[in-house]
Amino acid sequence: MIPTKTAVSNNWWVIPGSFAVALLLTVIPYPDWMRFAVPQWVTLVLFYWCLAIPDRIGVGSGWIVGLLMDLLLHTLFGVHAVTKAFVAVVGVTVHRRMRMYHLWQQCIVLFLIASLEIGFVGWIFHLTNDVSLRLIYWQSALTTALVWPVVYTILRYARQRSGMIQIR
Amino acid sequence: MVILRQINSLYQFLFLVLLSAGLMIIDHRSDTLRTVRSWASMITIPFHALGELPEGIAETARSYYPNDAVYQELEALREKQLKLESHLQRYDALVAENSRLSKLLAAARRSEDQVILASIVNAGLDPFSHRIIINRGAEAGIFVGQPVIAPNGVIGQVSEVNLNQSIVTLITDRSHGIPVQVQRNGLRTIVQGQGAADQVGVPFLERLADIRKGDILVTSGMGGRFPAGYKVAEVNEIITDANEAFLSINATTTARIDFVKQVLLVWDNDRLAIE
Repeated sequence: MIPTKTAVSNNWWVIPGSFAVALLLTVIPYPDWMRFAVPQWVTLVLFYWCLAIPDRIGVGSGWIVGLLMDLLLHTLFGVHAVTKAFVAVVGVTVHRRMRMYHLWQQCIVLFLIASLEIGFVGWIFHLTNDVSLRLIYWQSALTTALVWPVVYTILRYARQRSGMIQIR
Repeated sequence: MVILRQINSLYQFLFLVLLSAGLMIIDHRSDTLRTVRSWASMITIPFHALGELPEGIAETARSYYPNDAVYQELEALREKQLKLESHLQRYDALVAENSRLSKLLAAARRSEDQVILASIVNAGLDPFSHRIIINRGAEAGIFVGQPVIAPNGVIGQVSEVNLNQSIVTLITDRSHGIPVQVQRNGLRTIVQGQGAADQVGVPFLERLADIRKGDILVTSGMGGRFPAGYKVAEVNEIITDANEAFLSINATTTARIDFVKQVLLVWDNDRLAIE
């Protein structure tokens, strides 16, 4: 089987644009009660692109976006970078199977990925900043899974409108 | 080919894990990456600007209001009031201190602290720590460890300085402790953040300590980081447990950190005079 590159269209900015929106949604201030309930926007967008066009968006892109996130959130360099690379490696590895899944099954997978991610970041904070791990941190994994169908629908629409079609 | 690609991305991932681990260790253990971060934080400015756009539009709309001069005067007065309030909050403490020291006749004359105004950048950081971004940095002479106060009390200290923005660790952060004394009787202790908004703890007071509900805790000046006399918190709950050596005390920060928009960065003139 010959891997075909995704058709590069004039609308290449859809990908960086969607990441920019995700980063923006990450840094805008939220009320204190939803401090731990903010979905992992970057994970959602990254995972979508890994499923849709794994030959263009993968581990490297995930790592770079994560590094940008570390910069934006003023966390240790590498914390979010490595978790986003993890999200991407899972996404790229299972993208064929995921495409067969129902949306709600994808939600479960995302819940697991986001849980691991939050666990890792929380653990690093535990080591460096003396923050104790609490169950409440995992609210975000739940919301991430819950908003996946919405993000998926929007991004699929954006991808189809921009003419990015994968022939494989 | 697909299998190959997957193996490839696995190797890539392993490589990046090692790279990230190295970065984390370097960033945690040394200051080498500080300059990188300081410059690279320029990238974050458009994001913060976009995040503040809705408020900016409202602000601009307001400034086009016919009474432009009145509006500007209002702004100037507001800023002035903020500075005056910050000075004023020390006077309660000074009056109490004065009455204690009047017998000694040796109270050193305090000079006014030098302050500069900064705005809180409307941006969230990671949910695990209680930190905020302010719009002044190295260019304004901000330094790490500088006290940050709001009109009603201390809110934290500068923990990271970039070119034109700084990170402030709030007194509600778990890793933050601040030396205080009870304004009523001068009892010295420490206020520790608990990772909850507006709530702080007073961990090391023994059961017989003279502290009551409603006591105001002010900075004691111990440790030399925060100038003495600024309000920090008000005791709102004291739980006595016979099995515990220490009292369990909850206090509310006097500055409503969630609602603060502008803060003052303080240079302690007393300390500057000594140095």
